[in-house]
Amino acid sequence: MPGKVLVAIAELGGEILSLNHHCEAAIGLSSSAALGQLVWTLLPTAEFVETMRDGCRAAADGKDVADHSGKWQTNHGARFAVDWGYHGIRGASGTMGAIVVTGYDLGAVRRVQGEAREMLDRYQSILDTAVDGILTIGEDGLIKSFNRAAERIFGYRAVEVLGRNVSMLMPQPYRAEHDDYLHNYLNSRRKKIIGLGREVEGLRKDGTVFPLELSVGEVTVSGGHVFTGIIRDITDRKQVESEARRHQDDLAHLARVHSMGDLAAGLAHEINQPLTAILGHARAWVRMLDAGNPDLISLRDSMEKIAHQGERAAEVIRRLRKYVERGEMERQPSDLSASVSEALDLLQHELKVEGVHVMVKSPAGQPEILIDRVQIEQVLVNLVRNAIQAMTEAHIPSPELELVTVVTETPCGVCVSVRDNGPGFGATAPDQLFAPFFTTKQDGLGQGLSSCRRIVDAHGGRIWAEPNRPRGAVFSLWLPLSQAQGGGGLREVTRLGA
Amino acid sequence: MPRVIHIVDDDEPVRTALSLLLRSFGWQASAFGSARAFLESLRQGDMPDCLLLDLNMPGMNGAELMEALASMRVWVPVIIMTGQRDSPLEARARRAGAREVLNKPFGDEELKASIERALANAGGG
Repeated sequence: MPGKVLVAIAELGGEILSLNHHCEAAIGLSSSAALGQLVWTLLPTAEFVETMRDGCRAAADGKDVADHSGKWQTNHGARFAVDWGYHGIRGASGTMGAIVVTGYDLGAVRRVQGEAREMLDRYQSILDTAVDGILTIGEDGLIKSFNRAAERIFGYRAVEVLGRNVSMLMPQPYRAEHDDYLHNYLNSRRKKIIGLGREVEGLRKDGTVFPLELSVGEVTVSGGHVFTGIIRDITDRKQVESEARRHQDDLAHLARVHSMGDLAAGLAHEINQPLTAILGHARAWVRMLDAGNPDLISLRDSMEKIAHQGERAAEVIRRLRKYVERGEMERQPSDLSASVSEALDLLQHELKVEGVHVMVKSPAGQPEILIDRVQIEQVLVNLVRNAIQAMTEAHIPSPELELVTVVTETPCGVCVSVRDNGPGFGATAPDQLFAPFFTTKQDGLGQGLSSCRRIVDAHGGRIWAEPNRPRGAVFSLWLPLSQAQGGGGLREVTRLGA
Repeated sequence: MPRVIHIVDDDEPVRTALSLLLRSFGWQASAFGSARAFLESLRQGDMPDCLLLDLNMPGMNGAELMEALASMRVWVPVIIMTGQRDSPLEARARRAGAREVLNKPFGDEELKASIERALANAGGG
């Protein structure tokens, strides 16, 4: 039993020989002052005098005496609760020599209990006024505590969840995996979430799934593990992020639609070529069939060519449609080199007509990154078109374009550089090129590069310009390898050959 | 003796199809993938009755070829083929003497009429 032990030693007749210091302090009298007084008249209150006297006498006779509960008193008459017992002490000869009265000051015990209760209340009120949901679970995954904010977030009262498995607050697949995860952690001590924060999904009582930010701490209590989860409902934040993303997608889409006017001439040419070929073959054969005696082998050859040219036109349409469609809200793991190829395909005609020599360098086994492919192609189309126009306007005799993809390690990402041998940007500060409404073109709106920067910023990347050596400009686009979701979008791809 | 029509277009499928179509009309057709290849055949004395010329080509474009022909004092009826109406390049080709312009894609009768007009004008002039 906790608390202080009060000890009085008395002669067989009850005269006090000594008090321990706890007893002295409790009754407010020193041993010397108490010496010789009868133990049952000094220690207990009046109603327990007889009880203690009988107990002492029985102990003096060597009998076992039951413990008692009652009140003792101080020198000044203050009463306090005590549990006490008696014990006879035998001398070396075996005869009874003294009695010992041992008391437990229940007041002290209750004070400690009161302090503990007050501390618990204080912690509980902190927990209950916390904005974040806080819950604790044991090694078995069963919920031990659940604060008010957690009640509000999940829609359960604490009494409904206490003692139940915490997986009830998770949707699939987290629900099915949680027990195994906890078990594996306790065996391997390999941390995936403990000590870290991450975004996961929670399940409310009404069945709705919502995004939450979870941080988990671990403490050892009486040799067992207790895990504390702090939960923040980020539904509103996610909604704001999603609206910002939608807004950015709309802007990017508008910029693509706007740039279609510029791309249209080249694309129309790319469709007109196969159509001209198709019409040529078809009309020639109608005439030859009308004339009779057709060469069927040549006819089959023409049909094959017509089909091939139809596919060629369809491919241009597919590319065009993909470019003007609205961006996917979900970013997909993608190889940046594929976007480089698509962008160059869209500008094939311009590159050919302007006689631009294109070199593409990309490393094998490039990692995939989480991107909106259409928007990143839009950035690349902008950069390549700007380079073509700059070189054409400056009448560069051998215009050259180099697109180089490299994987960067610190920070981890993929970088594409578009390098030309055009006039460069002269006295203009490279960063000014990305400002909205900045343009060097007579009919330009100055939206191209600023919209590129918006797109790249939204991907957590960087875009910048610098002079090329010995002449020209380099525009570089860097995108990070790992995104939110703990780098979940990262996937290594293996490529055969370069 | 069938009239000889030369085609200059950098797009191989278009050259093949137009050659076939011209032959179906009874003309003789030869095709070249670039302005330079055509100029080379010209230097070898291979002179067509009419030239079907693509405007947008890498290297020397259609307008530049017409300017080169004018400077060489080579007079051949030229029909310009273009995928883009009223472009600055078309205006340049017209200034260099192009009378007929065909917008790609075009029909067979349109092509035939255009060539016949070009041949008649050349014959008449």
